[in-house]
Amino acid sequence: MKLDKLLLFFSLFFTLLLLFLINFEKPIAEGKITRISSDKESTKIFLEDASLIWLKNRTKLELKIGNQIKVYGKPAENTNNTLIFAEKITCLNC
Amino acid sequence: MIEIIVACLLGIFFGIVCGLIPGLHTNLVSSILVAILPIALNYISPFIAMIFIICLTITNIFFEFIPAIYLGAPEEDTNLSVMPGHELLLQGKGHEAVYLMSTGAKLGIFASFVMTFIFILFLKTTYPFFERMMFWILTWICIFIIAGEKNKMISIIFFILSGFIGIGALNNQINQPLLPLLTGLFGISGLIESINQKTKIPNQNLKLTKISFDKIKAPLIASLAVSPLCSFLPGLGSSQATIIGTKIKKLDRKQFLILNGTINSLIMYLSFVTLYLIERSRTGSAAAISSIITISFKDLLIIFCLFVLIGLTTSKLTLKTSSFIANKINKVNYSKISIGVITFLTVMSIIISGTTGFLVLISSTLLGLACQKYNVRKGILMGCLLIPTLLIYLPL
Repeated sequence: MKLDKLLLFFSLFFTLLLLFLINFEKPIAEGKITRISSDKESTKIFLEDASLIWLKNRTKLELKIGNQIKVYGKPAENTNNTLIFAEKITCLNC
Repeated sequence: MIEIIVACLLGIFFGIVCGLIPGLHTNLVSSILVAILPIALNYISPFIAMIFIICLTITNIFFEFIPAIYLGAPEEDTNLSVMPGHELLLQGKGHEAVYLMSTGAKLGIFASFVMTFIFILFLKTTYPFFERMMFWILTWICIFIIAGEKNKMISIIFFILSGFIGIGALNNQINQPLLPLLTGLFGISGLIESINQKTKIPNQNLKLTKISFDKIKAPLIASLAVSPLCSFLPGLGSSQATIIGTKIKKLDRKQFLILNGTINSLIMYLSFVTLYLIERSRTGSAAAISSIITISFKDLLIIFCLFVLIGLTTSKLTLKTSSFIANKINKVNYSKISIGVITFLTVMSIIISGTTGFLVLISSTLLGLACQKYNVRKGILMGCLLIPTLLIYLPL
């Protein structure tokens, strides 16, 4: 195989491996919802360990107080991981 | 007063250090700053901390041109300048390349004065519209980038593949994912190619030709057209602005470098205006400042004055440093320097981003190398940021 095709093949291989690894990411926060507040632009979810989950209002959210959730996303860099920008939320007891 | 002067000097010093170290981007530095600011604020006021961050930012903008040109080791904002800058370096005009980018950066500082008024007049009312249209704007930008390529099929493949790498990098829990991602795509791949070609840097000519106004006009118009949009919309930064700018106006290699320099400083300053007007941070420095202070109009004026003063001072320092390096670079083995830079960037990526970051580095380096072998323009690889952002704004 020519070098250019080889490079492209291995690049694709490692990229697929990277995408596969996304399935093994650990949740950044986990807990019971104690409060939910919404405004025009965002929804804030408060967990029992004082974490604040922030998400933009783009999709309907069917979570209630008392739901146990796992949150995947990124922490805001200046808040000691207490503010989290959620990318995915999994509900465990919905 | 003394505190302000000390903050300025320290900001300039750390800006020089951060600018000269390859791979150490302002966003990475800003995230370190944000982590240590709570401790620092026990000793200094938020205003002094802001002065320090601004001086560091401005100095870094100028000094990061040097590793981008001489070492082929770009950061997020200078990755597209590596190819034309490196071409000039191989013609013995590395110092001129730094001069062109530095001139562009100074131009951007003065242009930002005009743009500030336009932003104050229009940004608050138009921003919600742009945010709603974000997906379509990004789609248009993607089509715009690909449409200009000669071999569209191959370009689409590389664009999509770079998008997959971007998705993989940004969705795994990697610290500072942009470091291995952009270093591999634009930095290490270029350095490996230099080693393969046994690149020998010729004697560098320190003579600088005066830039005529006609030469500056096209990049200035292109940057004024593109930078405002890319300074307040999320997902768009200097690299995307540079690509769009080159499509608006046909530019030669030297004008491209001026454009890149102009856009870097313009977008950075306008990010502070954006922070003031709509309280959104679009750069690491703006995010660092927003964490310690709410910017007032008076602070914005101070920031502009600092941009002018420190920018003019730093541009002279940059040229002096560049001429020093230009005198020495042809005397050293460039392959050894390239190997050293590759090793440094790899180690930094592993330390900061971990083993998954290393995997990102490998994938992105391989793609960057493949891109060079297929003769596809490296601007196509900005799909690594465009596609993930497009998916966030998908209207579903």
